[in-house]
Amino acid sequence: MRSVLLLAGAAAMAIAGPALGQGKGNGNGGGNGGGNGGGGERGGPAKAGKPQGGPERGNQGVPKADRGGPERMAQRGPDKAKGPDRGPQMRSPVKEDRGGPDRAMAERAGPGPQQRGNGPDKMRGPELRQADAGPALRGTPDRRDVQRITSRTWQDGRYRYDDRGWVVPVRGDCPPGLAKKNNGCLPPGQARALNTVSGPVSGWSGWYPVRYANDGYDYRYNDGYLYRLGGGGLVSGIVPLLGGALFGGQVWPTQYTDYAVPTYYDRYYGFDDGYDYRYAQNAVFEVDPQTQMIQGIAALLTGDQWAVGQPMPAGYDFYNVPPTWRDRYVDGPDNWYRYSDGYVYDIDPTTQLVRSIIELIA
Amino acid sequence: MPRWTTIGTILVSAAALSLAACDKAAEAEGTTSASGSVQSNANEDLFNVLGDASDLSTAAKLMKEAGLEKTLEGVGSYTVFAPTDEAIAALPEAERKALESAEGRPQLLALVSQHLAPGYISRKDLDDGLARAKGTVRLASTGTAPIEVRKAGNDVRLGEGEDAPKIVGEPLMARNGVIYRIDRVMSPPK
Repeated sequence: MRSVLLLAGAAAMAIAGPALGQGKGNGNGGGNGGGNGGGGERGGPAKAGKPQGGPERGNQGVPKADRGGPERMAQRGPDKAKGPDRGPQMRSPVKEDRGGPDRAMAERAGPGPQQRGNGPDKMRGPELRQADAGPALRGTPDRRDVQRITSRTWQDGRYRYDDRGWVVPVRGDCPPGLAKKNNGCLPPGQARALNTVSGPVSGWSGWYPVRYANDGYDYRYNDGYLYRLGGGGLVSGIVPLLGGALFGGQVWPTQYTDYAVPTYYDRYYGFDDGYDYRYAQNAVFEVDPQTQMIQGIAALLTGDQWAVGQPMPAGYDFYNVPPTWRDRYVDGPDNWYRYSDGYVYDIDPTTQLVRSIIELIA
Repeated sequence: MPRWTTIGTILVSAAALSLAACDKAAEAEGTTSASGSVQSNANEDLFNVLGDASDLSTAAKLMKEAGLEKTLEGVGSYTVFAPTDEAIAALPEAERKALESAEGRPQLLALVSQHLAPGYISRKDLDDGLARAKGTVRLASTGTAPIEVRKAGNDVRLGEGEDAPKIVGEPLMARNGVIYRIDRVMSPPK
């Protein structure tokens, strides 16, 4: 057990490295066209076929210590037949024209509101933290393998969300009177006509401002989107909502195409089926790469921030390891184990610091 | 003799550990254990177990309308606090209708997300955690706020006060999670 833990710990020594900042300041204004055939790190090797054997899903034998690099990717086998073909021909020509992820990000990095001086929002994307791959893996094309999605931390009695990047800023470059409703400008009059978030009924209809509370903006809801009002009643940002614009049957909002999930999630959640999997609003969506149509919600995540050497996030006082792993990861006087978003975390019971991060697939 | 004593001790310890492990596994799988009886559906996923519970049919319907079939059928592990049919029926009619409408789906997703916690928390895990924390535990949810789990006499409630939802009945154990019935819908986060 100890050696296993050491292996897992070595593999998962989290480096709460700098956020990769995908989507940072993605001020793409009034619609950035289509051409979203993949995220910034898409276009790599084909997705892995699921390994066979073992309990439940057949690939949960040992904690992952060797994450492998490009060679490992090459051995994974072909795409499964279930989903649509994801060959290069599906990639949007617009995406190809962007010249790769770096260029795409640079083009998207329009000034955020703070830079424009009209709001406090830093327009950060969700942090995709590196859970450490060890020096040998850094910088490999398979970097997505060692990223974890983080969007919230517990601070001062409430969650602070890092996913303000989901607010797509609206650039003030629309011709007067024209509204690119869901991707860009909206005249002040029309903005005022939007529904207030509190809505006509009480209870759960008034929930959403919680996430964006106290950020200095007024929000209105319309047709699956939350509209952030800036100065003069102009719409300064748009948030596609989980269950609204982000729901089965809707076309994936083009602004979010860089938020591809780590390949670990592909393997853990069993997503190797030819669809694209994308992350927004603490949910993983199944997206048809051809039509960009959202097929469904594949997983809900907490977005809690875990890092080796850091305190265990709030909310994990109960032992919650899935049954398959209970024999291996049992709470004891020297170790606690907690599950969150597809990982098991080894906790020091005394200090409640995270000792190591354990992937649940080989 | 000391040697045999040592071996005996090891054997007894191993047997005890084995029993403990069996009990833990049995409890996790939902069979009867020292912690009391639980309802087992260890081979079924959360979505099926929810759908099979006669008093949780509205919750199952709302989960489906929220588009969470794949989420609850998958390998991801969740603890679900499912309001009973009666609990959902007690919501104001306007709110219930809003949640069932396409326009209200973001609110529906918010509601169901708030009723899901990451991982597999059996009743024993729940009781142990509450005892260790002296009766109140903040539990991470997939929603926009944590769930306060509180021991109140013989009851376990989610939140403050007598109006807070109470866990009722035995949990339903699925392959990928646990379902607790609650007698009220949780309030929206403030």
